[in-house]
Amino acid sequence: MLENTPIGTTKGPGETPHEYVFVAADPEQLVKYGEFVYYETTVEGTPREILGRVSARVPLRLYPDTFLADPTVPPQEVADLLGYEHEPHELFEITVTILGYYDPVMGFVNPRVPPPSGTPIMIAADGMLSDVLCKLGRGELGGIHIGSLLSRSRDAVPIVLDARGFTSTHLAIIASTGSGKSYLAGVVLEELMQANNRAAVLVIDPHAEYDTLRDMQGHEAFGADGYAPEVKIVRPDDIHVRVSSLELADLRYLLPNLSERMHFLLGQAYGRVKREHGDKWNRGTLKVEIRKGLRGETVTDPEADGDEDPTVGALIWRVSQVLEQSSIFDDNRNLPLTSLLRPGQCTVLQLNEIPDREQQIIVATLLRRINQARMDTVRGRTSPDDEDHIAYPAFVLIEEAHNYAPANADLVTTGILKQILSEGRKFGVSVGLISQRPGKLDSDVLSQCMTQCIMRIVNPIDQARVAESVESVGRDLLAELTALSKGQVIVAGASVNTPVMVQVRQRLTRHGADDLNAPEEWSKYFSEDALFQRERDNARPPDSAPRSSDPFERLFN
Amino acid sequence: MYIGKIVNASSHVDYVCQIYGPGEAEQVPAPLDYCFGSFVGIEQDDGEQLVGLIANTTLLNPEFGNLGPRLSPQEDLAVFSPDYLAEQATLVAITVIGAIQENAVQGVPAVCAGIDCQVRRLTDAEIETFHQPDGRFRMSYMALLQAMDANPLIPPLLLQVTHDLADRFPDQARRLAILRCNLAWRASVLPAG
Repeated sequence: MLENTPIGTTKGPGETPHEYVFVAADPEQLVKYGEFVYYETTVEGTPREILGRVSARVPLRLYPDTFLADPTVPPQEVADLLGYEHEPHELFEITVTILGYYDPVMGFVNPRVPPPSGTPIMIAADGMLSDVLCKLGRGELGGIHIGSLLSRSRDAVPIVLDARGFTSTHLAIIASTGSGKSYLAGVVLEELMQANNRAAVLVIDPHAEYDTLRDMQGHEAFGADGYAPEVKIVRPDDIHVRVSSLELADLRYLLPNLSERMHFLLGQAYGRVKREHGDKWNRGTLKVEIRKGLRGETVTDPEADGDEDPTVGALIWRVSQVLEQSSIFDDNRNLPLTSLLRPGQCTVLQLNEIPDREQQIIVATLLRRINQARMDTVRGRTSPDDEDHIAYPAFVLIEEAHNYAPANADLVTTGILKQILSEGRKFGVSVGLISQRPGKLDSDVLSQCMTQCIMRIVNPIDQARVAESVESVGRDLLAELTALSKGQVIVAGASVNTPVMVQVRQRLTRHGADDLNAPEEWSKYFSEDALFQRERDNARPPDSAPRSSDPFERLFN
Repeated sequence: MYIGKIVNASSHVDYVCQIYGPGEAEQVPAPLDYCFGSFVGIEQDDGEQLVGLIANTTLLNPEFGNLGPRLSPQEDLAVFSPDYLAEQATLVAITVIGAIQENAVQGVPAVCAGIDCQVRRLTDAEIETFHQPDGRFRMSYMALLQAMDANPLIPPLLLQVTHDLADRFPDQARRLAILRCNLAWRASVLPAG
C-alpha cells in the first residue's frame, strides 16, 4: 500500500456538502468502493488529515463502443492502431464522503469545507485506520475483534467493536440466509467470552446451532490468568416456565380463539388468583378461580365439574390442554436466573422442538424476569441471596428475532423487547437481535439497535426496511448490500467510529449451522459399504425363497 | 537561417510565409527547415521577434489547371520565360504564439508583422528562452491554439509540439505526458468512435 503518496487530485465539491470529487488514474486499482482516503489541511491553525470514504467511482475515459465490436480484438489494439500508444488510458472521477479528522474526544469532526481543487488525495495507511476507525484495540477491555477492513488485505486493519456500545444500546445482525449471520454471532460471542470481556451472555437458540460454542471451554485461546469461560447448554427438556410468571396476556396468547365470555372469565380468574396468591399461584389455583365463574362461588377442588357453566368447563379444558400437556409449564420450577446469567458464562437456551407459541412465551417470561431482576438489583430491592438477583449486566442474543418482534403483529414478546430496547441501558440489560428477514421485523425494534451489522441482503423489501430503520449507514454503503459476499459485513453505529465494511474473522470454535450437503448424502447410499450393508441385512437363509430388496414389492407380494 | 518572408496575413496571428526559392537566399532552405510544427521567428524592424509555429503548408503553381497546348516546351521555359517559373512557390502558414524582445512573452503579441518581414527557424536556445519567460517552463499559448478547433491540423500540431518539447525539457516530461495523453485521446481515439 502506498503511504503518503498522492493517488489522485481533487476536482471539486460533490453533489452534497459533505462530498468531494477527485480524479485518479488508479492503475493499480487501489481506490475501491468503501476505501478510506484523506487529504491534508489546516483547521483552526492545526494541521489535520481529513478522512473520507470512497462512495462512487465513474470512468472518465471509455473506449468508444465501436472499438468493442469484436471480442477477440482488445480495444487497446484498435487505439494503438490509430496511433494512441499512451498508457494508461483509464481515468476515474471518484466521489468521497467526508468523515472529517479524528478527535479522540469528539470522534470524527467534519471541517464543513470541501478541499480546494488540486488538493492531493492519499490512501489512508493501515496504521492510521486502525487508530481511527475503532474505539478500542484488540485485547482491550470491551474490545470485540470481529475481523478486518474489507478493502485491505486480511488482518491489515483489524476491526474491533466497542462492547460498551452494543451492551448498552443493543445490537442487530441482519442478513439473508447463508450470508454468515450465525457465524458472525458466533465470533461476537467468542469475543464476549474472551478473558478481556468475561461477559454474562444468554443466547436464545431456536435451531440448536450454538452448542458448538462449548468448544470454548478448555480452548487455549480463551483462558488467561486462571479464567476459563463456561458454556452452559440448556436443552428443551430442561426449560421450564413457572406458571406464576405468566401474565394475563401470556395466557391469552397461549389460548387463541377464546370467546368473549371465555376472555372475560379468564381475566376475572387471573385477577383473583393474583390478588389471593400473589406470585405463588399455580395451575390448580387458577383452575379453581376459573371454576368459581363470574359469581365467585366457593370451589376447592380444581377437578370438580359438577353442574358448571359450559363456558367454564371449556375454558378449564383449554387451560389444562395448554398448561398441563406441555412439559414447559410447571407449578414450581423456573429457569434460575442466577445460574443462567453469570459473568464468564455463555448460556445457550435451545428452543428447538418447542412449539412457536411456547417459544415466544419462554422468551417473553425470561426477558421480563431478567429486566425486572436487573431493575430490582440496581434499585437495591433484592439481595444476593434472592432467586432473581442479577448483580451484573446481561446480554441476551436472540436468533430469528423476527419471530419475537414481527412487523405487523403484536406478540407477547414485542412489548418486553421494546421496553428493554428503550430502558435496558439504565439497568444493564441489552439484546442482540439476529434476523434474516428485517422486512418482517418491527421497525421500531430494529431502529433502536444502535449497533448494526448488516450482511448481504437481496430482497428489496428487506433492503427498504434496513434503509428506513438504520440511520447511521449511508446510502452509498446500503447500495453495497447486494454486492457483499458471504462473511462480509457492514458495521455501523455506536460500537464503531464510522460505518465500515468488514471481512469477518475465522471462528475459533466450530460453526454449528453448516448446510447439509444433500447430493453427497444421497451418493453415500450407493457407496460400496452401504450396498454391502444392505445386501447383508437383506440376506435370507440359503433354503428360503429369494426375497426382493424392494420394500414395496415385499409389502404387496 | 532565414527560410522565407511574410507575404500575407489572414488575422492578427495567422500569417503566410513564402519559402525562399533558388536565387532568393544564399542558402535555399530544405523541406526539414520549414517542416510542420517548427518554431519560427518573424523579425521586425525594431529588433523584436514574433514567435510562431508552422501550422500548415500549401504549394503555389500557376500552371496548375492549364491543360492546353503550349508554344514552348517545359524545358525551354527556363530560357524564354524565367520569371514564369519563379511564380511557383511553397507557402507555409504561421500561427504567432508570442514574441521575444528583451523578455519572452507567450500569447497574442500586441504588434503585428509587416509584409516582407524575414522568417527564420528559432535556435534551440531561443526555444528554451521562449518557454521559460519567468524562469519557469510555460506553455500558455496552448489555449490560443486549442481555441482554433475548426482547424483539423491543430490536434496533430499540438501533439507534435508537446512531443518536441518533451525531448527538449526532460524535467517537464511527466507534465507534458499528461497533456499529450489527453490530446492523443481526443485526436486519435474519440474521432474514430
